[in-house]
Amino acid sequence: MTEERPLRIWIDDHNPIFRLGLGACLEPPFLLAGESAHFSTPPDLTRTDILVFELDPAGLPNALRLARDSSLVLVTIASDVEDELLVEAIEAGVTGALLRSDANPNTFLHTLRSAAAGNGSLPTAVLSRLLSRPRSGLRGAGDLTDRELGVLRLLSKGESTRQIAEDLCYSEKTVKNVVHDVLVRMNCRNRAQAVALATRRGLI
Amino acid sequence: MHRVLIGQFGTVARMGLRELLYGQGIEVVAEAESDDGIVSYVSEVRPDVVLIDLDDEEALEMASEITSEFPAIKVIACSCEEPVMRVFPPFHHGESYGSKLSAALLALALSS
Repeated sequence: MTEERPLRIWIDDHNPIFRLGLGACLEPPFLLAGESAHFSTPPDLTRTDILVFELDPAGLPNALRLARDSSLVLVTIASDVEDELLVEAIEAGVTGALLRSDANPNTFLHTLRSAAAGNGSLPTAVLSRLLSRPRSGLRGAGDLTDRELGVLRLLSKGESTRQIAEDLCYSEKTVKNVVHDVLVRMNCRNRAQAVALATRRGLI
Repeated sequence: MHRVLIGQFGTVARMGLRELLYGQGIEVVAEAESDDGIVSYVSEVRPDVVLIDLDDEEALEMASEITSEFPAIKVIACSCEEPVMRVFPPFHHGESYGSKLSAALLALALSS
């Protein structure tokens, strides 16, 4: 049996109890790479696969700067589902989000697993907010084919590659290719960002 | 060695507190599932220190109840959102002081 590659997690949160608690939630393949408060100790990017950071006006740009030109995956912990920064974060390429009040070992590990797989993970309340936002009418849909829009719609429902393949009678490989094309076309880092952008633009 | 009772906290905060206390070699003698009836639980367990959640809107009232009923017990109310805590030392008639919250400062407040 082959072992999963360890995935190293850096946790930045300004409350030491909550930060230690998130670290204590980790189990293989996730390992704690390090921790900080307000990035007072900069994460060692050579030893970090996923950066977990708290969503605030200073934390978001810091995290985005660290992830620029790197394969660092970003997961944010938000205090408030109404926070506009949350939408901004998803649109800027943050792969996973978890509400502080929803955090427990199961939800945290689920968010990390989804983020590591590139699927993204958003709390339902956040997705509902994205879906209910006023649509800008900026279609730009000419850039996306019906097939790509169909896949995006199912992604927005949280379906996995396999489920989408079954629903649309495609092979999983085809679905992955379509998702790849969508990400390139929309200039997105991951599925969550593509869904957020497409939703905001009223494409789906 | 101080015996600590952990009051009601969220799951992640509770894990963080356990981690912090374990790292400092401090014994957790009991954990309350709920803050309802915490005073009678304190009476049963007789800890030296009670940790409660400062973010709970009834935290200060709870601290006052515990310190008035058990003057020899220290109560520390820790926030799990902001890095702050409020310490109610024993035999101080419920008076308290606020402090920054870090692992080291909490360990110090617990053991002093």
